Amino acid sequence: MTLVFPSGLAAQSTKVALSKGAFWFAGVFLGVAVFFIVAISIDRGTTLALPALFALGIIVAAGVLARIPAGRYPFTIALAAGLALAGNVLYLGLLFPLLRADAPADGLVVTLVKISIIMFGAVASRYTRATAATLVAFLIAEAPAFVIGNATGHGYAFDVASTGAFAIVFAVFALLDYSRSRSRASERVLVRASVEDREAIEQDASASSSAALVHDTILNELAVVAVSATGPISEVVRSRIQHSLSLVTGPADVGDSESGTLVTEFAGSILSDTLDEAARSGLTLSISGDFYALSTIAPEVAAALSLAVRQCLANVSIHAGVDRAELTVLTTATDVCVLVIDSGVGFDEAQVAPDRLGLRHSVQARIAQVGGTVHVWTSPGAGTSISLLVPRS
Amino acid sequence: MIRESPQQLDPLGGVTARLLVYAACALVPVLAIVTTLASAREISNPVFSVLALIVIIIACAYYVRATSPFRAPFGLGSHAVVCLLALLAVALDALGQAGSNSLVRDDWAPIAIAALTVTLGSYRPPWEILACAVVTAIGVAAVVFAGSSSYVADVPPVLFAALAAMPVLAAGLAAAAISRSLVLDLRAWRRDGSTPDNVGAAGAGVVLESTVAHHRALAEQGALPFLHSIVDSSEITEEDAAHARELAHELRALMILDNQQSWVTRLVTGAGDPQRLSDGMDPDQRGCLRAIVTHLESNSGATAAALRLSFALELPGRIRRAGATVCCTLEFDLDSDRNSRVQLGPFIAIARAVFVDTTVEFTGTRGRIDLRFAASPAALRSARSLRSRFERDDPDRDSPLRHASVDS
Repeated sequence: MTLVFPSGLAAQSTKVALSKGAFWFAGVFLGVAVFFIVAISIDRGTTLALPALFALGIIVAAGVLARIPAGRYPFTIALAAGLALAGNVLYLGLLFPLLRADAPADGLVVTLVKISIIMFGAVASRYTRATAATLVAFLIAEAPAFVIGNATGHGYAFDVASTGAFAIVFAVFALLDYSRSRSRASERVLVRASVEDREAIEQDASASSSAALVHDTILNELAVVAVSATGPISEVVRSRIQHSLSLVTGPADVGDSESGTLVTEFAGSILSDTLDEAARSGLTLSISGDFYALSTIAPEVAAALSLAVRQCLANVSIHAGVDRAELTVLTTATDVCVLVIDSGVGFDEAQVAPDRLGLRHSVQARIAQVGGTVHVWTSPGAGTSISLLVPRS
Repeated sequence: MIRESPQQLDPLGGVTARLLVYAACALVPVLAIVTTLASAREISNPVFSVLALIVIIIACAYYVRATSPFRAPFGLGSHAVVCLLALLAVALDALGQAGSNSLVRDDWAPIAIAALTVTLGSYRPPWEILACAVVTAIGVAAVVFAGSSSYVADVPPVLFAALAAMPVLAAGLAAAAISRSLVLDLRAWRRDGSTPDNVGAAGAGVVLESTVAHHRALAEQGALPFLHSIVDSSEITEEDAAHARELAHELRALMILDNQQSWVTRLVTGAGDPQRLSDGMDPDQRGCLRAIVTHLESNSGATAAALRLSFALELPGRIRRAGATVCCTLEFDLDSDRNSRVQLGPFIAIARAVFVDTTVEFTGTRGRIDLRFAASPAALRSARSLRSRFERDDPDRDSPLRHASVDS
């Protein structure tokens, strides 16, 4: 089923997606931190804080290292962690002395950077254990703030925002694993159902193919025997039964015989045998159109088309009440269409008895199996037109 | 531009992500209420503050409801409603603190919007998330900028606006990146092959259905030897003719029986599909129906006998190809000891992605699922013929075909 994304792939795909999301989230926060430092420096007319931008550049480099494909290597992750720690120490070391003595240690420009580092931990999570990476990032963000804050006399303040960000990222990874295990429990049932469906459809197709062939051969010949006059068997009847038996008991089994003997037989003549048989049954055919186009269709399609046309003509002979029919071949760039038209009694499709299997099995199902379509235009008293549309090679 | 949402390509992903929606929608009201109480001294108009809390709670409730697998997929309209309600909450909260708000940092509204926005990554296309986040961030910034005169911090007012917009923008960008990454991965997976063979179904323990072509045995063991004997004989006797009639009769009866059987009748005993409308289902739809039936039989306490499966053609007004659908109705008993409805959610999420329309009803211990798919041309031809015959026979009676209420 095209809509069931395997859970193994889904887990990895989600990790990568969250990693990318976290990277951009951190990017915005660092961008705003830069904006704040520059704006305040301009507003206050001082350049004292600008060196902190260099420290932010080191932290960005750590995030990029975690983001690139090389981030899958432990060495790269360790290097990224080291850079983040160094960048944070340098940033806080430059910034804290500039803050007013009464300024809190969880000021905005501090918190923004801490949250960015925690998010970079989430970025690294696609190649490492997500919760462990996030925890290490949280420590890299908070430990320097604790040490430098106390060393510079600002003390340490519990940072609700950065701790909240850590808790949320941690919870997201934990919740996703739990939720995926629940929602994806249906995956196995869906995949299994998809496989079973393919098997069932193949069985139906095989049964339909078999029914069409049995109808055209065995059932027809039984009917011939049933209505034949008793006494010596005519050569016509014997030859007809032998022909049918050869179709059924050819190299392929009943279900697949259309792709066996018949393919070879009809590849050369396509409709000629069918037309001969119709003529022997007393049907006069008006033939028109591009019969050469029939040589452009695949052998198995030609075989199916020939058998379907044969059944259409048999229906005209038996049911239409006329002894004439028209056979027309039309072509397009992609399809060949054979029209079988009679001006007989017609019929009501809704009233076709369940035991009338010829049109259903021998025409519609057979053409559908080779990728074609059948359209029937008929009503009582108005004749019947059947179009058999099959793809060209 | 990526127009698909991750949920459209992977409905189960939407079910997985819903736990995050639950978490965000539980967190946001708590955050809003706690923050409002903690900064109560800054409230100048309590009515607006209370209204802001009510609106954000409504937004969260609506968001949870709209992401239900029974309503999947989460659409653009629902996205817009959540964003507008959140923006309204921002405006109301600002009005509640008008003239007395001293700190931007203790305002809950931008954080609340960010928390909701970041969970959208599994539900909407990236460009839409980003566009909505930018619009919302501008709205938040404008509201904060307008009330910046009361802030105590000695910084330019534009920084207050930037500070308030930042979480929303960051969350929007993150959600858009998540959405884009998921869609590209899902596209690549589909392009590289998404058939069950490629997803490890080989070990799924598939049980093949038994062959059902009853006529084969009679044809091969009865009719073929008989016809061979006719060919080898010199004459046809009365007994031969009678035996041929008998064999033909039996063979035809078995072929009719085989023709009346389909994968649907084998899936659910006694399934009603005399017109073979189920032939119009595509492989994904068939697989989904089969999975739902399998799940109901194994997980929800429903037994095969308690399941009822039927098909009906629905014609919008007069018969024509466009708009005509087939309604596949599955009725079943629910096990009251199990959380059957929740367990059914992932399957309904898939069904809503593969069928034209899917509706689910639970009444007491009985459930009903209607799955609609486009009617095949063959089904329409059959219906057209049936309808004309019916109207011709008795024009005053109601047609047995089901008609949709809306003539589309």
